Amino acid sequence: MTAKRTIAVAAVVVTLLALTLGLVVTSYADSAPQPVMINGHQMFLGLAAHAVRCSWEDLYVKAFNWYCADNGIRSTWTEAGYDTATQITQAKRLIDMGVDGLIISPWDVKALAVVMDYAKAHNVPVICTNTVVDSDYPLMFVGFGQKQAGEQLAQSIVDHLRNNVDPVGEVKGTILELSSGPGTSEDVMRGGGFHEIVDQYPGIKVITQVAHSNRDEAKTATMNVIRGGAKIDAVFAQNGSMALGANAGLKDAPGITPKDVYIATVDAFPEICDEIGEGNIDIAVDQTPAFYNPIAVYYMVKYLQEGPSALPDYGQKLTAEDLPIDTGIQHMGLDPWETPMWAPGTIRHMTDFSSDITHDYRWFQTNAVVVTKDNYDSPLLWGNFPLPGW
Amino acid sequence: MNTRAKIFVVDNFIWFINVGLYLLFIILVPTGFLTLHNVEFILYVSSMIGFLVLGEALALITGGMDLSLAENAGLSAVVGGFIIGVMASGLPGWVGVIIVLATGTALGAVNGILVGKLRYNPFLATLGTFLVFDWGTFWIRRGAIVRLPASFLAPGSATVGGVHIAIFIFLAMAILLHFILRYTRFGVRTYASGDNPRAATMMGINVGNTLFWIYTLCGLLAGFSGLMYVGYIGVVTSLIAQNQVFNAMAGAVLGGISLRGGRGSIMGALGGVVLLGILDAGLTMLNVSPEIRGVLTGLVLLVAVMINMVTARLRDRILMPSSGQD
Amino acid sequence: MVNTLENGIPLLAAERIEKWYGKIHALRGIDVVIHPGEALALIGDNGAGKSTFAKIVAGVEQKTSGRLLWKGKEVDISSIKQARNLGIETVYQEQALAPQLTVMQNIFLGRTETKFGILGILDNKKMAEAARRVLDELGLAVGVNQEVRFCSGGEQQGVAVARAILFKANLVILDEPTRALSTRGVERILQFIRSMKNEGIAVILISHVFPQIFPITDRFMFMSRGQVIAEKRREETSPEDLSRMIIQKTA
Repeated sequence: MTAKRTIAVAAVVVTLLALTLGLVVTSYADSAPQPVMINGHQMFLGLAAHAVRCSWEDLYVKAFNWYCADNGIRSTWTEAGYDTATQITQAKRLIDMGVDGLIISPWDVKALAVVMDYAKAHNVPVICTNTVVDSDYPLMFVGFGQKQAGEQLAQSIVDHLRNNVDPVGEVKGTILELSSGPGTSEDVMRGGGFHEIVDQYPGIKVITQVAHSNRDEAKTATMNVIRGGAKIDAVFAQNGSMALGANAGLKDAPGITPKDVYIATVDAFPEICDEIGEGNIDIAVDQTPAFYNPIAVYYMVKYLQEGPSALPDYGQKLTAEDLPIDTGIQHMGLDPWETPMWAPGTIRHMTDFSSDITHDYRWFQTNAVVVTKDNYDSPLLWGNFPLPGW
Repeated sequence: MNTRAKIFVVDNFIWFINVGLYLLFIILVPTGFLTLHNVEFILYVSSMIGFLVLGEALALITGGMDLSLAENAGLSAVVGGFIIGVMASGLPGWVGVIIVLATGTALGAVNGILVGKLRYNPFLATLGTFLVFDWGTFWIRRGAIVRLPASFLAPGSATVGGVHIAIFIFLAMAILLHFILRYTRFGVRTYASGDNPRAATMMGINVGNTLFWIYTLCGLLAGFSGLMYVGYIGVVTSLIAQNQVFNAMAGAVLGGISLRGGRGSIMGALGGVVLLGILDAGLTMLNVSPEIRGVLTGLVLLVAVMINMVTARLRDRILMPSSGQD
Repeated sequence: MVNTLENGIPLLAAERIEKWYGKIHALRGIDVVIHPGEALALIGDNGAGKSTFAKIVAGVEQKTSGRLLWKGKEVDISSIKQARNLGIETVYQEQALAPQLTVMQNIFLGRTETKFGILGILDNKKMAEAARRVLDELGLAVGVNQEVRFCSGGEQQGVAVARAILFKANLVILDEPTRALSTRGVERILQFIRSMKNEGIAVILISHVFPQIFPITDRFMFMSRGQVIAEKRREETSPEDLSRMIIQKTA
């Protein structure tokens, strides 16, 4: 090796090391105003997120950090990249770092119980948001029910059949249900809620097709059903990709005016919002990721300061006045909490949430956001939120 | 410094990096890094991926690779969990432990037959079994298997005097493998097969047989990894260790294992495991965002590869005899 | 120092060896005889059949027809291992060494000394002593724990020769031993060959450059197109004579 080569190699090593260090240092710099104190130190909360790989998850985490920063709470967070073991490690690390409270979106309903035991042993209270864990330790779960989304959409289809489809005034018609597949959580939860409503109406005929959450399969299934001679009045898609597939199938099927068919779906990601604006998809319900963690932090702070009495009672209905979480501070040019899209909320039992849950704790069930032509372009919808980089 | 000391430093450079990195994090992380508990936790968490790194190291030393390693861990865990938790829930937990290890070994033997006996290219053979194992896991079970006997979870969860036995099992395995590679005939055959398989064959070494046993051993290590994961997360899920194979490879490469075969040591691989563990702990506790973290981990890998190249050259220079040249 | 076995039976006698590679007739019925301690050089052009014959003796290739007599008994050499069991070793210039393994490990490659039975624990002390002894015999100053990639070309062949001596080979085949070696390296190889002859080992040399090996060769067999065209003892010929012969025959 010549001297020149040694120098070149050393230069590369030094550059990479410097880059490494620089990134560490720049990423480690933040400050907070007006600290909330607890036991003589600034309150410190951690969020163990399941992953941050899409704009929904990004907003979910950002809202946590914004809300904590606005309120003088020190915060830290991790993301597990959809890996159970990683999330357990990260959550334990947050506890080891001395967080006063832990917020978590458990990636595995059973496995994350290990973290609950660890938190209990270290006397760190936990609130789950977005997803749930089967343990009696969490103070609360904040989220809307996937089942409720199915019910809500089924109701809107029933209304559509009653008001807009002949014979008007009667609930009569054919619904194409696009399923993610038997046994999937989307089919069990969203599909289950849907059937709970529509099965009450004898005039409704449901044709169920499995499209595995997949846009292409949904398109093929829709065209096949129409070629088979069925006259479809409405489509219920268990996820947004399948709604887009159904829409594409209707466009390509002969003798159909796509806009005549009512399409209802869960998920309102950007493409769905656009299609709603075009009038191709009629209704979508979705969650309010900007609100989950602020609600959780609101109760965590109250709990840490006042004890268990700060938690709401089972059966209680909560409105925007009960929960003053709007800080009025702009983030990325918007006040993400300006419109209380989460309201109203209801305190229910976790055992109502799903059959996976064998231990009970509070379920703060938020409202689902209904997206129609009236509000499809609202910047407060997560699908429209101006997050950089998405 | 005499030659022996120089070689010691060069050969164990990864450990100096580890100590340096740990000291750096002690300075950067405000609280909690300089505790015995943190060291214990880093080692505990590292034991899961650690077994995979050891397996990958073995495969790499023979000049091959095992892409199916992590998925083998997942499938072995699910097979064990399914038998002990669903099919025959009366069986004692230690039977499940044996089933997991036996399944891992058997799946490794499949790779061994493909690579060693049927002369498949290791990349292609294990790419195929990677897919088979990955989807086979879902085929057996989607979702979690709960209510497992404590003794089944014990290897990955039990503690002795506040220290997880997983750490002891892992370190014992590393020492055993180090001994096998350095001090046994099988070890020489392994290195020779990776270094120059043609020469090894001409000298009467059954390279195919050696590879068969190496890949089988990789399978056993995957089984151990599966056990550690199961103990760690307390249930069996169909996503255990999924996609960890590149982390395992990164660990082995960080530890100075050459992708060209014939070179590298288990102690180096162990150093790679610990480096990954320290890095993960430090970056988590520093609240480094995931994007920067991913980029950083990649940069650290690149730096490590560069350091390995430099130390390899240094080593050559130290060892190059000054006389005896024709 | 050419010896003969009892009753003058040669160490190896190859009779009417034929080799076909598909439609190519590589060996057209050649007869070769070699005695213990004798150095026999196979010379000739590329494609003459020298290497093919060497590979058949080494167990790498199989003859199509003919007989191989080892110490007077007909044998079947169907693998390298079988050849080695008879005491036939082949020294290739590079292929048979693992460059990242040590000199000692290479000498014992495939024949490691172990202790504690099936555990197969290396007996490094025993191997180091034996390796040192043979290397000293050959006048090689390389360290037993030096990696082979740090050895020069001549030293690397020395390692291979050390194998042959240590494991008491009867016949050693050297394939182009002087290729790509410096003058000093060639000297060293010739010394190795002398050492082997002194040990009573028969040596088959395959070479293009016979002037280099002329001084230590006992007998030359000149091959062309799968046949032995001429055979001369060293006393009957000279390098110039051999060159002239090759130019004439191949013209």
